[in-house]
Amino acid sequence: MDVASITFVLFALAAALIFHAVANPLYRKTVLTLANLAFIASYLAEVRQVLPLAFFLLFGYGMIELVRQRRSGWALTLGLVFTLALYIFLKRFSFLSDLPTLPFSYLIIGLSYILFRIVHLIVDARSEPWDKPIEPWSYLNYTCNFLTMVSGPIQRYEDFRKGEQSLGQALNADTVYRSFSRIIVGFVKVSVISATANYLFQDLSAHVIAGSDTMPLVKFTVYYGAAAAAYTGYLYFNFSGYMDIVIAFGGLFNQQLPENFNKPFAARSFLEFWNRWHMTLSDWFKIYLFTPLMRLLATNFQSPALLPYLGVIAFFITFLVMGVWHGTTLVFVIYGLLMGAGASVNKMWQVKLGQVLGKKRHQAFNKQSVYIYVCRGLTFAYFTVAVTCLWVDMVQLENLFARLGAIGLAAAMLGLTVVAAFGAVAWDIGAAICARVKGVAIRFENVVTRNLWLASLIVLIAAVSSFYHKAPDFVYRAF
Amino acid sequence: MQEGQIYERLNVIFGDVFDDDSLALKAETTADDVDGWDSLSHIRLVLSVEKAFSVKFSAAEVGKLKNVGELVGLIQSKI
Repeated sequence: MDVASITFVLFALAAALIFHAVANPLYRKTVLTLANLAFIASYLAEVRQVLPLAFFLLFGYGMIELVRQRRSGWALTLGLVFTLALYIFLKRFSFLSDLPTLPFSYLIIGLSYILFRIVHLIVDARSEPWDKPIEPWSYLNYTCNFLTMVSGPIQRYEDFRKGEQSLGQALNADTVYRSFSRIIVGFVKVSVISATANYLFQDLSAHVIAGSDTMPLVKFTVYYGAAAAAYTGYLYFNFSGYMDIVIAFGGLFNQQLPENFNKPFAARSFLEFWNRWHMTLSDWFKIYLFTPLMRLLATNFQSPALLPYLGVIAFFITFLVMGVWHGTTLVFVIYGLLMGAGASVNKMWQVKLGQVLGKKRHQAFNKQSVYIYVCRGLTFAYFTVAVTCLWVDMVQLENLFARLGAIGLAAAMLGLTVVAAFGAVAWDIGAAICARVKGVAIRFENVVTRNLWLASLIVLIAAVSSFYHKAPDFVYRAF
Repeated sequence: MQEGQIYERLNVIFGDVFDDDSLALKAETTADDVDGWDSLSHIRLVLSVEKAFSVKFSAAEVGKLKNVGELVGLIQSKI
């Protein structure tokens, strides 16, 4: 069941109605469990396809309990190594194609995000004062929450538990209105904006992937830059629209799910970008990989002067792993290397610039408008070039880079940087104008006008959807 | 240990880590208020605090800290 589909909306609305029919928390928890199971069942052709996922959940629970009871380093290491090994086996990474596999196809959707939740619980089970085992029922609802199972946001267990304690609360009209309006905005992003960007991307990328030898390099570079930029737009609006839909539905089930995006293209650096894009994934990697790694390095190399260089290493490893996690083939290793290189070069630039300019001049330099917009443009350009790995395979990537060459690639980066920098200026001006218009429009806001606004958005979704015939798939489901 | 004493010791640690003796920490002080408080210096700060107060923070505790007030609360819960 695709989350950005009418089927999902009807399913979630029906579940919300049944959920609110009775205020009893146990009843509501049962409804959530049944909704989670029904959601998983929608992906199954036969029952046995769910068995590996069920085993992974049970195994993860066992590892959490082992670490909670022992609270030792070896138990933690054992729990993490075995859980990751099972995940890698089930995920069928291409570089492990020689390993034996299960003799039937099975469900792996959501496996990555379930892994994040289980690892979080395994690590925290060692340090948190949990005197009782995690309740298996809550564990099932937490790991298999139908709203967040496929692609997040990655909610922390303690926040999920707080939500469970407010299951019995009644909804108020404001929450319902805000949820519905955000669902509609989510569909505008997915079905209108991302569908349009995808339409452009499909058209442009066909020329790029075909690698037409007769096309002049300049034209080919422009096509590549435009295709890559369209894909970034498609990726952002598709994913953030999806997040709007699930977070808004969370409100209808008394769940306060964490935000996953915060204006990523306002970022002035690659590192800041990842504090704004897929934030719950970035936080997860920060807590469970970057911080322990930095602690290890900083404990072994205690000179303060070395700290920035240790940071460069830690950033490289963290972003490499984060990139590789996105897929199971070689092209995702390239993506991981590009992510790692972006993060470490970014950190090195910050360190060197600070050393050359000194503290006060560095601060003043960072506030210059031209520098800010160039950095925003460069951040967009680098991310856009790096995510090329998400829409080509390894052979296509090699052909693309061979066709572009160093000059074509540099020209594409430069062109994307300039266009994105001017785009950021235009965006900021537009946003300031919109804020003023909104300030005036809010005076006329009432039940009629705000519902008319939502109705007009629904008409827009219907009109554009009929134009494209089919809404684009949820792109992040593949990762 | 009293809250005031914790702030006193933290002021010294922050001054050393961020090379700024003029810092006057408050509960609501965040990374945005202290020049140079990024993810790297945060680790150095955490290690210095752990050493000074003889405490140990978990990965989640380190990652979740939002301001100095939360850091003080965390230290109080462990000493």
